[in-house]
Amino acid sequence: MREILSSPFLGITLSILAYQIGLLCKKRWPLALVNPLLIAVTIIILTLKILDISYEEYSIGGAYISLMLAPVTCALGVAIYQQWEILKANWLPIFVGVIAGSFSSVWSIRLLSQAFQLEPQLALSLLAKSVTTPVAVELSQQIGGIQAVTVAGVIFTGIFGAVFAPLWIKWLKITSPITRGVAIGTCSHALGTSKALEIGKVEGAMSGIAMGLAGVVTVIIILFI
Amino acid sequence: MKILMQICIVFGICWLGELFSALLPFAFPASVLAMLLIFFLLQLKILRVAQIEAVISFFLKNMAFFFLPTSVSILKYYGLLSQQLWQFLLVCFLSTFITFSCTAAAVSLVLRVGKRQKKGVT
Repeated sequence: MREILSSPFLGITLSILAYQIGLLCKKRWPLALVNPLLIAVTIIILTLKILDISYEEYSIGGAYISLMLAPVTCALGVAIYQQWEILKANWLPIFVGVIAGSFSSVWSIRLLSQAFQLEPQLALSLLAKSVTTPVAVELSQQIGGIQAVTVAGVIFTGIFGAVFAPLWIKWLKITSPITRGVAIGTCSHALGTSKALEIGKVEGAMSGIAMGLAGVVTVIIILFI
Repeated sequence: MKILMQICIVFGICWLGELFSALLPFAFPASVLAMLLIFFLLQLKILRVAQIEAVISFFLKNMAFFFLPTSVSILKYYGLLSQQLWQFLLVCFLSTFITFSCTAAAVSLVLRVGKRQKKGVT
């Protein structure tokens, strides 16, 4: 009977169910702290522990889902294309902002990791954390980081950005919707972008563009500079 | 049949991304190449959004779901992470704030310079 646990259907079904529960929680309590992915991960880990299913057995089905990360990244290219007009009209502030932001992200992580004496492997895994998950995960693998730690970093970064961005906007007295959107998208990818959309339409669009560009710029910075 | 063709196009582009990634003399994420590739195909009107819309919006709407298995693998690294959890979270938080401030400063600087130049012209 044990081999029934290594069927790919198990991992896939479990993942979809857990994610649906996460989405329901988000609908019920619409707070930035209630993250569907975080909830789903917790549910799956608990289920595996309780039913004594190993991670390896779960990941037989999980691998099929992970395979889809490439098309997901591809889809981001379409999203950027659809916002091309806004990008074209404001290309200079967006580009300068994203480049400055991506540099400050990579360097602040390097310096902070040293200051807090983070294990080198953890520090490497964090380097790409400001960018959207599909890009971060592949980048992390290429530079020798741990993908799962990178995902954790990306999620926490997104939650921090989404929760604190409104506060930071007030503190720093940022009035321009372009500035707000680019700053949110560059520092906290899709989770931040969902918050930016709540603040305003221009903020949301800017954040979405900045998030896509930050992915490309960060790859170039980490791999070549 | 329609959806099947859309999947075919998107997966085909992903495969081309891997092909280019293998041909490049340096390491570069294949999925980012696929992202750039689909962008240029759309810009050059070789591909229309309508030809891939259903599949693309499915992926965009359910994006977070696809990271689930990768995230669950944190199970294997729990020991490493739990030793330095607070440092890890602090680095995340501080660098997010620094990135936010630097980006905002850069954008508002460019916007201000742009405004001044416009005033100079008129």
